[in-house]
Amino acid sequence: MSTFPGQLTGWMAPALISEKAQTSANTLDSSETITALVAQYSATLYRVAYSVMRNAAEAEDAVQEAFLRVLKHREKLDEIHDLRVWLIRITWNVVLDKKRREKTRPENDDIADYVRVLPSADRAVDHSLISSQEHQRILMLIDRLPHKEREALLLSAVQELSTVQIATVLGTTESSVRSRIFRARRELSALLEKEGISR
Amino acid sequence: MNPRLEPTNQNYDQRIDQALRRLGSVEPAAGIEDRISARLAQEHSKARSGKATGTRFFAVPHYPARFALTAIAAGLACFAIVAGSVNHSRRIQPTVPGISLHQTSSGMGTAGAAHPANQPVTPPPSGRPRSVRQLPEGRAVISPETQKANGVAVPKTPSRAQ
Repeated sequence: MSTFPGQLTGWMAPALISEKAQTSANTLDSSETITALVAQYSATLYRVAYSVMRNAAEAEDAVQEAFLRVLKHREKLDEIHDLRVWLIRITWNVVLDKKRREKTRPENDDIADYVRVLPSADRAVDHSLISSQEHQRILMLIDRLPHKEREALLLSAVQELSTVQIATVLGTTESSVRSRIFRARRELSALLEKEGISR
Repeated sequence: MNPRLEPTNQNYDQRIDQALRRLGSVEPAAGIEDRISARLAQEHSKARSGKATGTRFFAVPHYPARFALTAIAAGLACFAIVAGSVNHSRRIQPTVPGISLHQTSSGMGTAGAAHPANQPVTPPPSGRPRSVRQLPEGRAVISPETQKANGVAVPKTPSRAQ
């Protein structure tokens, strides 16, 4: 059983002793809000991070970094209209920064790690259709797509995200996202055909 | 239209869908919330302690207290300058032209170090006039006992009675 709610609820409380009443009330509010955000969205944010990082540890690290940014700007929490999209956008920027910094390093697709975190039922179904090697090959081909198409396609893989939300994260229009995803899939099909991956 | 093209494309689409579904259905390892909360708590306490050590030292709230601290610091600086100056001038030894004083040794020098002997004060050569008398009107007079080299004309000394 996780001790998470108890741990997190009071983690900002010691800071409040010497502060004014108003400030402490605000801090408590933001503490509770961040607690709720962690509980609600950490899995979604992990999936967003994993779609780019393809490594469990790095994806989790990116999510933690995203929440650290939230903590840093906690006074803005009240002004945010859609916290979910805001969080995804922060995570997306974090992973893109990380990926940019790691560009010099070789690709570290962690297949064993991936198999460990994949839900067992889904794994059994998908295993009958595509093998892990084939899956990795497709992911490598996705990385060869132009960045705009690739980003739209990767975000579309996160099932919780609608096209409108993807458009908000990428800072573009919904129609643009749709056409990017269409182009990405078409190009990926062409690459698959060229690479000779067929059944 | 090529009839074989569509099934192939559908096949690729299926594969792409499956790959994307697998990518988007990963689950984080258990306890991710705990780890995130621990990290947040750690960073928050670090930020708080950083603020406490970094800013509290300089955070003197009242102007009189600030003024007093500044005055004390300035006084200490002045005292240090004066004390240093006095100490420095005490260490300087007086130097007289022609006389070199014996340098005191701490006894910690090496055997090969230079140890100059004290320079003796030479006595004046004998036969030279040790004093020159002066008349009231300011003229210098060489005493009659002075030994003079031959051939040197010396003016006669006027008598005292004159």
